[in-house]
Parts: sequence; C-alpha cells; structure tokens
Amino acid sequence: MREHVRMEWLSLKHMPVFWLTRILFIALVICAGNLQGFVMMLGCAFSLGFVFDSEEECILPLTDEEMKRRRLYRVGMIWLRYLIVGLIGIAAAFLLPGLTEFTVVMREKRLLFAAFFVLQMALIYETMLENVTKRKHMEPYGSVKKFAFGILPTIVFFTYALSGFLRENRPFFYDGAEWIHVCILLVAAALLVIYCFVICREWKLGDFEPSKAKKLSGR
Amino acid sequence: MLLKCEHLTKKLGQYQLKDVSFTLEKGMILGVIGINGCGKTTLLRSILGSYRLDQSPEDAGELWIGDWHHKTQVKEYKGSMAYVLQECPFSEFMHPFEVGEKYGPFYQGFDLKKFKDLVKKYEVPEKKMISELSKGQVLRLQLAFAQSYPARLYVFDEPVGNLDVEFRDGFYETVRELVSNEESSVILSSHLVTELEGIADELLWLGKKDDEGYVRYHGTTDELRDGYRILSAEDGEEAIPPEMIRGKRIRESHKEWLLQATDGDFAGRLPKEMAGNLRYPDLQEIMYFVEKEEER
Repeated sequence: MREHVRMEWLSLKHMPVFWLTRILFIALVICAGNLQGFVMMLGCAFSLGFVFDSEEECILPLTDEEMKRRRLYRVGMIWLRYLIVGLIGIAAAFLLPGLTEFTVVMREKRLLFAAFFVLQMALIYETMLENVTKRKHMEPYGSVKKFAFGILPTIVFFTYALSGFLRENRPFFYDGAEWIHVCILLVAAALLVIYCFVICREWKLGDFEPSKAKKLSGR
Repeated sequence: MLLKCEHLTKKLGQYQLKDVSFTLEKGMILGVIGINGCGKTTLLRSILGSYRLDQSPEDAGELWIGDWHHKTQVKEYKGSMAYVLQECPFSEFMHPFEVGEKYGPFYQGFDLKKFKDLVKKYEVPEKKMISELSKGQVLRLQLAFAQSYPARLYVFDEPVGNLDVEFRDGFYETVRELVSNEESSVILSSHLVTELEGIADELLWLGKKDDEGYVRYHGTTDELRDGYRILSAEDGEEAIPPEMIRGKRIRESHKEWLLQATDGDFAGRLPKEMAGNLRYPDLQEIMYFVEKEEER
C-alpha cells in the first residue's frame, strides 16, 4: 500500500495535468447518466498501462509466485481506485438532486443498481486481470468456457449499461420483476468472479513485452 | 565456472535463437557480437529472465550461475546479476535516487549510499524524472545501480552506443575493475566490435540464417583471428584453394580475400608471390567478410 501511495504522490507531483484529466474523468463518470458504466469501462481501458511491468519488474529476484502476488496487488490497488471513483459517483448522484435521469433509476431501484455496480466492479477487475496475466500465453480455455464465463457477463453488463440509452425514458429493466434483473446481474458477476479464479489458477508468467511497456508506461 | 548456458532456444514470433550453449569462467569478459537481429538482446534477456524459456513448445534451455539454476533457485540466480540495458528498465516516472530506494532492497548487499554517490559522480541529474534524462544519463544511472551491490555476473547490452567518448573510456575501465576480483564475470554485447576486441577475453559470435540465430563462434579473440588471414592482390583468385576463401572485397586498386585455415598453414597453400601479401585481419574485417558472404 505504502509503495502504491508513494507512486500516486509522485505522479501527482510530476504530472499535474494527468491528475486534472483524472478529476475530469471522475466528473464525467458522475455526469454520464445512463452511460456511467460505459464511461467507467472506457476509463478502465485507458488505465491498463498501470498493470504493465517495466523490464526491471521482470528481472527482480523474485519467485514466480512472488511476482504474481506483486502484480495482483497492483491490479487490486487500481481496482480500488475504480471502486472509490464509482462510490464517489454514486454518492454525488444521491446527494445532488435532479442531476440526471440515472439518479431517478438509482433511487427507484436501489437493489438493481447495487447489483449492477457489483457486476461493473467485477468486470473492471476481470479486464485488468486478463491484461496482467497476458492470457494469450496460457493454455486455451476452450471457446464454450470462455463465452460462458467471460463474454456472456460482459454482454449482460453492456446491455444493462446501454439500455437506458437504447430505449430512452423506458429502460428494459422496468419490465418484469426487479428480483429477476437482480439475479441476472448477480449471476453474471458470479461467473466473472469464477473466471477470475480460473485465470489466476492457470496463470503462467509471460515474456517481458518491450513495445507494450513503452507504449503503455504512462501513469 | 560462473555461467553455464545449455541448449538455449528462444522463439519470438517468426524469429528463433537456436541451441546456444557456452560457459563463462570467473574473471572473464565475454563479448557478444553479431549483425542486427541475430539475437544478442534475446540471449541477454533470456539470461536475465525477462524472456522466459517456457513460452512456446520450441523454448528450451538450462542456465546456471555457479550452482544456482534459473528455475529452481530463481532468487539466488537473479539476485546475483547486475545489468545495464539499451532500453531503460526502470519506470520512467521515478527520480534517479528512487530507483535505488525502490529496487535496491531486492538485492542482497545493496548499498544505497554508494548508489547515491555514484549517481552524483556520474553527473546524473538527481531532480529530473527518468523520462527527462538523455539516453547516456539513463545508462549512467543503470551503471550506478549495477555497481551498488556485489553481483557475480554483469550483463551489459549495447551499453556504450549512447555514451560520449570520454565516459566510454571510463566505462571500459569500470568493466575491467568489475572482473579484477576474479570472482565476477561480464557479458558485454556491442556493435563497436573494434572496441570490444580490446576488452573481451572471449567472444560469442551469433550468426543469422533466415529467421534463425545460432552460435557462429565461441572462443578467444586470438584463436578467432589466428584462423583467418587477409590476402591482398591485384588478381589471381584461381591460385587460391577455393575451400580457403571465406569472403572477397574489391577495392579500387586491388582485391582482398578473407582466407580461413583451421591449422594456421596459409603460406604453404598459396603461391610464394602471394604468401607475402598475407596479413592478420581485425575482428571487424572478419565479421564484414563472413557476414557479407553469408548474405550472398
């Protein structure tokens, strides 16, 4: 934790413009209304640079297990950042009345929204984990397993995230009982969590990738 | 013996460095040479561990530093190496001193004070981030880090290309000092073959055919040079035994041939008038002729 906080402090000290971008991103998340989830995913994609290692990280005298723990820890820290940003977004939506239509949905269907947020955080973690484990180096899972555990929950997430956008004024989760939607979202999140465990279990450390490290070394 | 590399094979996309085996004794400096893309950096990265030998079915090989195996005693193996690489291995968003503070504790016997003193001595700006440093300054920073703990094997990948002439001299001096205790060894890759010739005790010459890198020569510089001669003459190629010719260069006034004879008997196989025109080649000439001939 200390190391992560120190690196955050360094980036604030030396890259204030980058932090301004971050603050703008938080503002965007808060104001994104029905697209909040989508915007957060976008931010997550841009942040993948954090989980790429410098060459030094690959050369350090650590066992494979220690190196994996180190990378997982870093993913966890970045995930924590998204959790905090997400919670700030939710708090702001609750505290600032009439900000967006999304606020109305959040207040009317709290349980459904909570389940959506759980799925969103699971998806962010899974995206980063896939990246840090460089899945292409691993044994293939088989397309059925990958579809069921990885792709299907992603489709569920984006369907809910974009439903208000696609069906203005009448998102489809107003159809049917709330608990059905909550179950769908939680099952999708559970599948992702299982998928994360599978990825961790079958994770084989890969080669250092100089081009990616160079391109994505930005904090 | 300090380093043992057995049947190292590493596949990267279409390219493959194939079946590299060599040993390096304590107190020796091994120069790694070869044309661009022959696999010098791939070899050094494989030794350092940033390229792993288990990523594709073709990948193979065993590495030891002393008795430490690269897979079973990873911490000891990796902890006994220090390195200076072409590309900066550290996060670009750190200050020079932070490199020592963050990564130093991973290495046994790391002396932070010594590191800071060396950073100052090498005139690396302390207050700039690594991304703001010049390539030469980054190399000096790496050198300071490498010298701040007692390593057994020093791996230098093209370290001198971005250094000014003055610092380059000092660098070679430092390399000699590193092996002077007869306990450590150095692997040094460079394009500056002539400079390498002056410092390396042994050479590992990597060749490249199609998409495959392989060991063309491993041994001392003198042994390599002893096996070759340059013959200068206006003409008369038909008088040279064809099996001796390893390359040919046409100059304005004359022609030059690189001849090879494993037993060292050059004069005995040539007409008397030609034998007088033989001379020893330097390393760069051997490389030039052989690689040029290979291209053909």
